Amino acid sequence: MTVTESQKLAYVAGQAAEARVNLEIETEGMTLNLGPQHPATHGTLRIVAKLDGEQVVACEPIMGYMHRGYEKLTEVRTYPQVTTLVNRIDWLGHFANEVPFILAAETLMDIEAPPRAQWIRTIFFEMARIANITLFLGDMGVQLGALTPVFYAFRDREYVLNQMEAVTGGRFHPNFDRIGGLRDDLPKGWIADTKAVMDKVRNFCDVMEDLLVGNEIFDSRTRGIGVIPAEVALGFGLTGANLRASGVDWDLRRDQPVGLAWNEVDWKVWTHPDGDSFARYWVRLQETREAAHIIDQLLDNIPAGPVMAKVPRIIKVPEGEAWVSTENPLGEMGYYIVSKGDLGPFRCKIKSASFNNISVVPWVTRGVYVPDVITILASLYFILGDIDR
Amino acid sequence: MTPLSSPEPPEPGESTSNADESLVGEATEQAAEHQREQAAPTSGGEVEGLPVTEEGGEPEAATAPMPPADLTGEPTADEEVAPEQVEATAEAAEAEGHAEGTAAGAGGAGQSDPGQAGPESPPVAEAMASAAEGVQPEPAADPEPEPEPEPVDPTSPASADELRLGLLDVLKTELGEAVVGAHIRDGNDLWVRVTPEAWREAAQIAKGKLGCRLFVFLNAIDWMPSPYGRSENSGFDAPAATGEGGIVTGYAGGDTRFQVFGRVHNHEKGYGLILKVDVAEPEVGVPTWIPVYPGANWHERETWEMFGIAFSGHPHLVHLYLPTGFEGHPLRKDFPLLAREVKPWPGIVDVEPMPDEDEAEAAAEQPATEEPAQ
Repeated sequence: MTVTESQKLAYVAGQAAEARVNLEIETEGMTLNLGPQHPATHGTLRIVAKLDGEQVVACEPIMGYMHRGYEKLTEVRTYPQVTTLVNRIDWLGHFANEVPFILAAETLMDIEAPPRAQWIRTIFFEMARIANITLFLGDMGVQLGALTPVFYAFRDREYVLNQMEAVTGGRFHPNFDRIGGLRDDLPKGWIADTKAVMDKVRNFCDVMEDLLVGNEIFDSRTRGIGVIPAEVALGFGLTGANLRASGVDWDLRRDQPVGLAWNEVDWKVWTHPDGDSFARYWVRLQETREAAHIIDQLLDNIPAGPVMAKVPRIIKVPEGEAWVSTENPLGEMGYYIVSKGDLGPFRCKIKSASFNNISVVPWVTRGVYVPDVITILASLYFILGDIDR
Repeated sequence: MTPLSSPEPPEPGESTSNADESLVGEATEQAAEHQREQAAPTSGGEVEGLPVTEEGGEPEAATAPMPPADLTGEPTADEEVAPEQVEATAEAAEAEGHAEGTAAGAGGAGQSDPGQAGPESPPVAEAMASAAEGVQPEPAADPEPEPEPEPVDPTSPASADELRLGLLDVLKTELGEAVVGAHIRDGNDLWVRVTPEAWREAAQIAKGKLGCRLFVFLNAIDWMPSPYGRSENSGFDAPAATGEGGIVTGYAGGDTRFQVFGRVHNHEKGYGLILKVDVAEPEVGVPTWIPVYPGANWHERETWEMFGIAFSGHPHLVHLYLPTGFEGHPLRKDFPLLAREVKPWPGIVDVEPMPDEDEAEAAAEQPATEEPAQ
């Protein structure tokens, strides 16, 4: 993990900003309020920035506008009912939210889903990733003033969501994962359709690359902006593409495969050494391609068999504690379940990716220009439901 | 190792001991024995070491010259040989009760029903039992391993997981007696409980010595059973005991109602660990982790507002999610979920008992899952 030039510069800029605060230079500071309703916030995140001229010296995200108290609600729900809640945490990566919770419950119950269920889970997981990240790939353009990409993104995301809907009945909230397997098997003809959709996804990635990567404005607004060195990223607990864009080669799909089928196929973890906004965009772009590649391979080899293991009709999870996390579209998402042998969790700590990812904002925005706050926020890519829970 | 190093401190709070022992006597004893068997492999050395001294059979003499087994060792011998001295035995049995509680906690089966039966009555009963059984080798081994290896147990859980045992060893050598509990699920995870004073040091060691540079999360648990029960299936669990009495902590044990726990991860080697710490006084709290992991900042703010647990040294402990004037700490168990109080949860329909054949089916499935709940 080498420290690149641009990473050093990030440190310097931050220190300069701090020095300015400490010295209290004559210039009169200004406080700028961004949000809570800002297009870059994917929900309602408010950011209060203290400015010195055009530069940010301190920045404080204020959240809670969408806090729904899921951790409290899980304590009065049964295990099967909780998946309905957690669907709504990262609403663009819907299905991926359910998986770690179900896996944690299965860990405690000592149940393993049948192979076919694991493969279909993995396919849906990656489809959720595509549905989630395509929106980012288009949205990043919007933050820079390019409106076209986001329309392509919405169009092509719909193909993926249609495929999800064909199986689960829900575009956004599939609620399809069950303790011990899946609710249903795949419908007839679905595999061929999905392969066609994956071609569209790859095509979409190519289009995005044509439209944005290499574009002069895009480059100048993202390269060297919002640099997060690896050590800082680790300390703040950044995960997912944000961490890989800082050069840390860590992907839970490869490094901690928890009962899912990623190990069965051939794919690659993409990293980028720069740690800037561009790197985060680029890594996600490659990941979307890779996800399509993973799905293609999985579709070719889905094992036969049931999609549901034999589980008790009334699900009681034995006493114990379990932590299971997976590599969700936004980063590592995990559930820490404390069970007392009840019908529902005694305590369920939901660790969502965006909460950690966004906690680096005060650090990374020191010393940047105001318009760059927007691109940095957009490139960190968060979903408000995933921050507030 | 640690038989001597962690003698009493973890015990006293553990007095949330086994009322079931008194209730079900023999049966529970067997169950307890079973538990102990599970826990035994850990401290194989100690467990085996002891019976030898016992069978060597100079228990009276042993009382005096048994220097290594200080407090806890003596009562054992007493109980063995002189059941007439009921008081002494009671003490021993009590100690044993504590120890067992700890063992159960460490074994992850800590489902004891705490102290409404005073510490007196069960030990006496046990003393009687042991007296009746006399020198029978089986029960001789029974009270035996408890007082001695139990102090060891909380920090050396049964496991064949070399990697995680190694991690635990590093923590124990660095922190010494500050490690007061541990639990390992083989090939999956490691839980370590430390004293509040060592909370930040533990994080530093995890980061520096164990390479856990990735901060994952930090939060708290309120172990008190909810006084409101689960309003959506109220027939199933009536409101449980309130107050300190009903508290049963989970892996790695615990002495207090609140525990702060955090997870850190080594992204290069692919392991992580969960650190826990008891919080005796929420207003005092525990030291902040920010100097070690800057990402702990918001997590501590969240923990503070949701549980009312302070973090000393935190620079900006203000509300994160809730409005500034909010009163109460929503994730505490005694904070009512008003929506449920006002309107019963319609989901109650889903969890009503199923027809008989399903019950039978479920029962066939159960044994594996039911076992740890006892």
